[in-house]
Amino acid sequence: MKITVVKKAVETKKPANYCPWFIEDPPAPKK
Amino acid sequence: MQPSMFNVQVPLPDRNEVFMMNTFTDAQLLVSPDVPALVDRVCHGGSYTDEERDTLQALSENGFLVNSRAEERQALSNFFRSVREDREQLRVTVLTTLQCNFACDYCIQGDHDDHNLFGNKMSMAQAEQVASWIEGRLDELAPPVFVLTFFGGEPLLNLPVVYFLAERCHALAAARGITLRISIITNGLLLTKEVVDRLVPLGLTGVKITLDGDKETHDRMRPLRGRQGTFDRIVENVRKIADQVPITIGGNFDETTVDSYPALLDFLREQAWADQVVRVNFKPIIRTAPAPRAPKGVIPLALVGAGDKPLGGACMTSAGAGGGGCDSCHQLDDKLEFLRDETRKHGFPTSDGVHMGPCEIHRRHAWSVSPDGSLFACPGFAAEPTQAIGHVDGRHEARRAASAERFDALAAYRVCGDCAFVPVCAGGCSVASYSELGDMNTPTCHKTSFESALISLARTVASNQAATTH
Repeated sequence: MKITVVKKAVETKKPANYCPWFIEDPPAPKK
Repeated sequence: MQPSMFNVQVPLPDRNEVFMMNTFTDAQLLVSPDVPALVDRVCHGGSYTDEERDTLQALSENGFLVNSRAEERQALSNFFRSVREDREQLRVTVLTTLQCNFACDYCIQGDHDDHNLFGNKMSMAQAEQVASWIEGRLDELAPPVFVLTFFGGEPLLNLPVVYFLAERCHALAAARGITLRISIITNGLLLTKEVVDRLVPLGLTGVKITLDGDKETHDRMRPLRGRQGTFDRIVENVRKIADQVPITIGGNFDETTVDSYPALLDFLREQAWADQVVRVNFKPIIRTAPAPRAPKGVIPLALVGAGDKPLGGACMTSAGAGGGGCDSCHQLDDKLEFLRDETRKHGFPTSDGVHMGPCEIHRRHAWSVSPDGSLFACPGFAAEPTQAIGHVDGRHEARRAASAERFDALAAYRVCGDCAFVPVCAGGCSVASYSELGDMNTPTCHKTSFESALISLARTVASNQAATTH
């Protein structure tokens, strides 16, 4: 029985804000 | 314990593994095939080996097992409430004008004759009111981040208002220690170095332009009003500004143009500025009949034929819960996944097609401002006066208050039952629901699109995992 956690659960999920028609966020600027 | 209703999985037979994801917690696993079988066994109870108990513990920690369905539904409800009340960002989209210098046949935003003579354009006096209203929201909310988006029409046709609002918002944000992120959604024709030089110091962090395929296809799909091509000038504009601001490239495709997109991606990859492109996202257009003419000065939300029946024109969604809908929608869903794969192969970041919503219509502190100062929950409603939820001058009108209540209660996903994609879909596009069905609280379902995107995500995750372990 093998289990590899590629991505852990997030405690505070953030909305992706994707919009099929109009507005999309540009990726956040790199620090 | 019981399995979460937000578990999704993709078998990867060539690796003898299964990709598991929980769309609510965003946890992602690669597991042996006996792990999903163990999850199924949980429903029936029984005894477990020590190894199985350890695995169940890991599954539980990542949200694949939950205490009860009721508890999970409550957590989902809390999530949507937290999205709605989120105060981390103030988001304002300003439609500086409904006029446009392009004549795209498929565009939902107006006709192509003398529309510019009648398309609303924000005045400087109105822009002053918008700035004052924004100042009030910043003081009320005190968010860490203020996202200001210029949209239209073609927003750069009203440069004085763009400059004025950018300067005022920059000053307002700076005085309050708020990070301002400005972005522009533009057709790119007027996106000159001078514009970018002026806006970058004020907080411009992203520009989205649209290319509808390779040069020949784009020039056919997105011509000037005199039918001249626009591809070369847009590309030249982008070349001159690409080192100053991150570029997002969008594109709208239909059955007749989708095959030209790999050539566009080849072209983009060859450009010296290719690495400045931070995202490429293509989206489908569905057209089943010629677009009717729009009333002057308004944006029609749907292409409507005789008897006011929607033609499924500008809409890219299928209507109703459970994945029912037109075949062409689902064919284009397949094409969308093809284009995402092509985009990734060409080395450009793109949406994975799984992490999508909820969109900003679900946020209380996200607003769209039309040229006349009316406030909307989403720019898709911004020329439908009955859908205005307020006005920047603070006027109180019963119809706007009633509309605000409708959007406050918006929750199409409640009809979606135990669909595993609700946390990343939220019931789909409310504009599509409204325009197709006349009811924004009816879901628009693209479950098949989510499923095909999930398969791609699983393969990508597995491939990346293999690369890191070898």
